[in-house]
Amino acid sequence: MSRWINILGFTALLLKRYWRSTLSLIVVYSIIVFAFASVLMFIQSLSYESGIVLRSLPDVWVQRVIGGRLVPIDNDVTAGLAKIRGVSCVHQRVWGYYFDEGTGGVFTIVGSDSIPDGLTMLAGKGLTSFDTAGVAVCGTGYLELHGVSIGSDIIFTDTERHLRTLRITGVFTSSSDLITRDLIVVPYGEARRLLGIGNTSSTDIAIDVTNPDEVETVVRKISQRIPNVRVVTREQLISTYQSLFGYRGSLFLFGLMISLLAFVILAWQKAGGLSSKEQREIGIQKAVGWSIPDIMIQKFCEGTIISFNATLLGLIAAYCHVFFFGAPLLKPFLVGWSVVFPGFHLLSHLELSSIVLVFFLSVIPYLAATVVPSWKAAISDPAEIMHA
Amino acid sequence: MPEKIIVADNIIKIFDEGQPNEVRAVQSVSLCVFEGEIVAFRGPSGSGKTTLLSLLGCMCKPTSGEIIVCGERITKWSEHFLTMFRRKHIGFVFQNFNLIEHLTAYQNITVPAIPLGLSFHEMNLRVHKWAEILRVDHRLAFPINLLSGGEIQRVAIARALVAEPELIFADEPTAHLDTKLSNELIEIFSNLKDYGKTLLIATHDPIVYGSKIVSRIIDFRDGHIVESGA
Repeated sequence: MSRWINILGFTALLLKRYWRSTLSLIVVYSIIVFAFASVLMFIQSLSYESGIVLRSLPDVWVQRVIGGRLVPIDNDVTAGLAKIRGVSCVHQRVWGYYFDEGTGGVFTIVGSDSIPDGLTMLAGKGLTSFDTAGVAVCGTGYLELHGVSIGSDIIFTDTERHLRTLRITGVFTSSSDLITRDLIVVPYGEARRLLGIGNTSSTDIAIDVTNPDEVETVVRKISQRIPNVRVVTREQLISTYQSLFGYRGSLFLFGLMISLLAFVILAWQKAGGLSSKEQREIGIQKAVGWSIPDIMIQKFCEGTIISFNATLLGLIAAYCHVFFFGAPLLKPFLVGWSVVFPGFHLLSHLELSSIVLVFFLSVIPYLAATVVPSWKAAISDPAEIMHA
Repeated sequence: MPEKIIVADNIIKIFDEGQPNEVRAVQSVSLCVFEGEIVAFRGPSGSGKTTLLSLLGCMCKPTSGEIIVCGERITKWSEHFLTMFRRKHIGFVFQNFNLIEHLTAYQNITVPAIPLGLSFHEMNLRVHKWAEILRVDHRLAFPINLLSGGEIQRVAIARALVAEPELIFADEPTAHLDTKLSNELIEIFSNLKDYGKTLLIATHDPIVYGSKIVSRIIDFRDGHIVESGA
């Protein structure tokens, strides 16, 4: 044990001797780990968060497709859907996108006579069945973009170019701002006018299924009975989101892996081409009685101190970047651009496997890149130092 | 009668054997060294003195022949066991001193003691003991690049002694020293004899082999012992 402690102390001395180069190496190394870990944490948190939000969606929804386009679906279909065995609830939904010419932003307008499940109010009051027109509950994105607040009147243009004035009665928050940032919830009638959807049709029809195991059966029955419809399940949507985040993240991670690889190659070249001074020092150590395992322990300690500290620093910095500051360096690339940029706060969610992965991809290659060339130097003949 | 501490029997060392650049550095050398002796290997550069020291100091193995050090037949040992043996029984003073740059005198002296697994306290005691004997204790905290030539030399000797070996090997120890420092070194070696150390010195400096402290001079030329006498 004393031997290990002595070697560890000696390693610390050697690192302290060239503290400037050691520090700069740790800084560069940390930056790479930071970038890599930030993406990993961001993707993981986003997937986790979208998973939570999407869990509040209905089990199945039915959309009408003509010529590959989505078109409003007739409300008559509702009765037929309700008769399918296993369906517990059917409701028509009116929603769509509204392009705001003044700001260039695209907002999601949802018709409702109540606050949709899973969403909560930040301030003001929500909609009730008594609200038939003239009111709206908005996400924070709309308020910030227009500089308005609760009680303000806002103006929309309907599909027939008539102006509609709505009063903001409430502001949304939710467990995540991810879906409410660009959201405007208005009474059904108002939504139909703004989106140009007639009273006899809806954007889509949402279905709840009693037994989650029967979702696929219900989907099959709907597809068989009603032509020209697309049936989407909640699981499909969750899976699509996960794939999307995974795809974007993978592209990023791929680039970062190349950086990491370049760093390892650099470390390998540096260590592989041990300077004559370093080789001489290994020779001196061998000549005065250090065995090959002693030198390997020292180099292992040296590599571990550098790589472990750099990885830890990178991980802590990445955690702060993603969960305290909301990943400002990654959002534009991984979430997408928009006028109404989602200002959501990421939920702190980090899996142990990710930490292990970062350590595995960071510490192991660095150790290999430094220990192996040192071993090559250590197996050299100690008598060479006599002739040096 | 002192015990034999080193016995070499007909040792041969050939580098790059069978190659066009083959070198026969040591050829059929037989000798013995007794405990407490100071033996000087005298010879011109390239005569094979350093190679012989390496062989007797367990740094490399002979091509043929037998070497016994401290009663152990080391010739067939693996490098690992030779290292273990060397760290316990042999201390080296190199021609260029070979200290580690930017470390202090104290840190340099501790280097051989680190793998011994000594406690910090024990290591500290040993460093201070030898630093005091060699009169460098006031310079222990200084990086070696701030020390004078004589102080560097004494730090190198302290390093060779910190593991408390019985044998000290010195390879051209006065090669980079002026006359005054060389004489100081002779005095130090003389003191080491009083501590029961056996010294083997490879040199072609008359100050060393001409000094009274040398028990025996072995003349070496072209890998052979030419003459051995008191």
